Amino acid sequence: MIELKNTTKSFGRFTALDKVDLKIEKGTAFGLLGSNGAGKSTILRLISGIYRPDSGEVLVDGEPVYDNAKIKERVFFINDETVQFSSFTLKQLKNYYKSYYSSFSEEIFENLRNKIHLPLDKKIGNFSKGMKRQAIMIIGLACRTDYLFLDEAFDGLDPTMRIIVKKMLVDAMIDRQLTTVISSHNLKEINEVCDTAALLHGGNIIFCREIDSVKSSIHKIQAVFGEDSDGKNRILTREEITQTGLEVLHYELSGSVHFIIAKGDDEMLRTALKPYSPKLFEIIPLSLEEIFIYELEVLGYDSSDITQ
Amino acid sequence: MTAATSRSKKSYFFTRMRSDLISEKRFLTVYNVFQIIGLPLASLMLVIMVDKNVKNDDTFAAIAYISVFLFAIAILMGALIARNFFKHLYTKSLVDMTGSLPLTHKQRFFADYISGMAAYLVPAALAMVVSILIITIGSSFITPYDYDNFKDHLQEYLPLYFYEVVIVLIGMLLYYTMTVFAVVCTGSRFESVFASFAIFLFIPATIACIYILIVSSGNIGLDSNAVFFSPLFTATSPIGMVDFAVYFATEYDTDGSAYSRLFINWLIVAVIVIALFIAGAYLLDKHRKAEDVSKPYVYKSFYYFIITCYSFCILSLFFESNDVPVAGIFICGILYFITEIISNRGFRRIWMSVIRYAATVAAIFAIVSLCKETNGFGAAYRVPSASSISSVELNLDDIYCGIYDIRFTDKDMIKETVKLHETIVDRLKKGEEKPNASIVQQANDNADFFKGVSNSIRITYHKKDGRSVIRYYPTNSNELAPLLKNLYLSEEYADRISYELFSDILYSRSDEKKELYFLDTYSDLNIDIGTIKLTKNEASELCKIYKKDWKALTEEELCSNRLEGFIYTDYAIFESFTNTKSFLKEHGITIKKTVPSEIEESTMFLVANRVYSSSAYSTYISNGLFNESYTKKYQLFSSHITADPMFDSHNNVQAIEVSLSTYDKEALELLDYAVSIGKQFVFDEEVSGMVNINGRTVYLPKSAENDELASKLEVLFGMDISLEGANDYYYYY
Repeated sequence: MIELKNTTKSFGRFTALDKVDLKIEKGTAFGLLGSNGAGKSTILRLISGIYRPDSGEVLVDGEPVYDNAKIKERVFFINDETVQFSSFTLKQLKNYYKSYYSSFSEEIFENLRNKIHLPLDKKIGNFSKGMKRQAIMIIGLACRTDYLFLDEAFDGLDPTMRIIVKKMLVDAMIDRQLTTVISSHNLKEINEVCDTAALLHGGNIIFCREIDSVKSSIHKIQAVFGEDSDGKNRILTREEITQTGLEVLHYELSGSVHFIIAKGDDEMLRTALKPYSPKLFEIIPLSLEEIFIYELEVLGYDSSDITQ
Repeated sequence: MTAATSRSKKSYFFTRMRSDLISEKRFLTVYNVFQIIGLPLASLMLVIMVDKNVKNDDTFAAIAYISVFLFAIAILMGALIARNFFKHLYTKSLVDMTGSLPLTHKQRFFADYISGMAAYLVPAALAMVVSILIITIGSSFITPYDYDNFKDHLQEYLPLYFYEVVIVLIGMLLYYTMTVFAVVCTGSRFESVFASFAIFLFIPATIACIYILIVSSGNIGLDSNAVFFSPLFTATSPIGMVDFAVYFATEYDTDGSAYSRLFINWLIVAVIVIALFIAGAYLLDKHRKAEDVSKPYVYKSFYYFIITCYSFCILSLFFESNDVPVAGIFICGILYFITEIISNRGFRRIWMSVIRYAATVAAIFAIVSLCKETNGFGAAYRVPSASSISSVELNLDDIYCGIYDIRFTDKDMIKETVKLHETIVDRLKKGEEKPNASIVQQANDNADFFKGVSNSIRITYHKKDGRSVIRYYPTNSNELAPLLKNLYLSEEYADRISYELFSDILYSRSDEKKELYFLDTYSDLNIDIGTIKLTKNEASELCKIYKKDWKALTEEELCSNRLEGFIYTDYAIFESFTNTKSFLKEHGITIKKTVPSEIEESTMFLVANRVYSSSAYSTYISNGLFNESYTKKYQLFSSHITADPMFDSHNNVQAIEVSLSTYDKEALELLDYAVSIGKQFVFDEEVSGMVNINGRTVYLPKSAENDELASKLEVLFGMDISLEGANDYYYYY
């Protein structure tokens, strides 16, 4: 299990993580979502033992990971850059990591390499961006660590290769209870691979739940309400909707049609708005991407300023 | 399936070392090639060139030069090796790759450090050992031009080669370690290079500037040797270690023990300095944050150290020559702000730079003033106690017989040196004769009696605790006289002079194959008496006898006019040297005092009271102004210098023009008389004048009669004064 306890990490005056508490259970596929600079990569580097927390604790299997070689041998981190491998051939890179990770499996490496047809003796610098990521991905999987951390995991991969890589990850998770922590802006892929996710913004965790639970807790409502005393369709303001007890993330009005993004399950939403006798009431499930946008909008991370 | 059990720490360490060496394989291959074709090839060329049967020396010499150049390049590559093995500290893309590996900071730092060090030093050490083997073994396969000298040289200097190997390796280690230290303190490629060079340069430069500023201007008796040969300078930077390597090679004496002590003292300090740099680099690396990569300076204090050092170096030079060095402050300020702008990557918080610079200038000014006011914090007047000293080394312009330095352990001599030191310090305390460099120069030009001795003295105390204290003072022969008298009468001087004589004899080989050596003898006034040939055993026997005679020499005899002749114009033979004279007589040489009338085919060079001697004698000979016909009779000429009136503590000697002339018989007889009563050794006595004949000076002891004699001589030979500017003229009869 990975734990961040009241962890703070700053870079100069910028606080990347502010007293964050987080638990990632063993065997989960955990997605880190968040705006740029939210602290996703910082969390990955903290749990990889690269960064030392300013305060708080970062534990892997109950032990601090920083400067702990024993724990770090159970962790493999793939960052969002590949330039560092350019001077290696795939064979050299494999041997490099093999010398550090005693559980490295040549068999797994060869199996995975054969699936994606990567040359062994060609300089990685001459690989395409996608091939470089595949190369480090198969090495990471061949190291057979308990934890695999991926920063922008699917960046640069073509659609077919994304499927192959995702399959590799899923197989490893099934085969050996691999715990995967993935940060990505591609929420579709997080949605497909991860079972749990945390949304970060400004160094804080907005939520951390199972993805299905997240998706069932926020909905989009299209509603037209009954007539008022003037015989016109009633228009509810955002405040009036909030007064019903709903947590409104987004509110828009087009004519008399209300577009509302609110937290709560189907029944809760219907119950809350029933007193206004909706003529039209439709609850539409949100994608993870939409949840991401609306959650952050509440926090002032909004694209509307730019569009204006 | 879970990860396998973790490995031992040792395994991680060697894993890292192995992967480091593999990663740098290409670069290290180039380095090793440079080492292989560097020193060993140069040594091979050297051995070949010594062989007298080998032609085309120029080609071999050119190859040797190229090889030495490659060796120098290989040594300089140490900084690149250090940077390559620690490149994750300034290459952002490598931070994650390195930081996430299953290694602790300690394992990573020491694995990187040791693998880099081994990759740098092992090939160099092997190359140096192979070079020595090439020279020693290779020399047995060749026929050198001078076989015995070559063989002797090899035997004598072999220990020196090993000393030098260790010095070079320690120097390389410091160079590598300082680069690692600089890389740990910086986070960008540019700053890591700049900071490395900055500490290589500014640490020794700061020490040198401290010397220039505080020591020199404070006149506190520390000469350049006290700084440039002290472990503070020689063991704290690669430049200092080069300085020490050269110093050690030039000062090396095959009798050994003194130099092994010098070496050990240096080695101890060097090892401590290197250990401090390693410990510092490790601790800073341990506390360094991974995210600090790409910061120009991870540790700002290191940056301030560099910037303060170079400000100090620049400003101290200006403070030395000017109390308020506006130009210096301005020039230094420009460099300071350029560095600040580069380091801050812009003009951000430039006002802080202004404040920092003002504080730096004020601090440096305060330090300089304090040092000047306190005479180097009292160092000026500190004299070590005689009981704390194990030996003393004296360096003078010339002691005697071409000996410029002598080391002794005799307790009385140590006490005498301390006494002299106290005398000089007392004089300085009173503010009396606190000569600056120009006065020293004048004093040198116008040496007092016992000419050629010295007008300055460097005293090196080797203390019982292994430390050295070096002091340098302008002085004069009066001050030195008591010490010198004791020195000449000491057993250690007798040992040294006989050793020097033996060395000189060995340099005068008469034949390559036969072990015969020339021995030249002269009268007290440099008249050639004759040359004999000695075997090595005979030479050794003579030196033993000569040493015995020196040890038996009395003060009375040393200070009287009983000097009868010389071996090689330098090694005095006194009247009492009966053993030496007997030895020479057995070989057909009779030593006796020169009768002035016998001076016929020689050249005389007169200096009476108020007339100053110079080296014109030899100049005239070399210019061919004399030919044989003119040397049938006395050739007398007087030499003077047209410089400003000279400083002289005795007689207000005036400088006059060089010229030469000839004189009548009456004048020459008077001169003969002067020579006959003159003394060759004068310590602290006053004199009426001095006469220089054939490059040998005799002094007229102070008396009314001799004052009159000197005045007559001056009148008779003072005609030269009228020939001012007529250097090309000469007369004879």
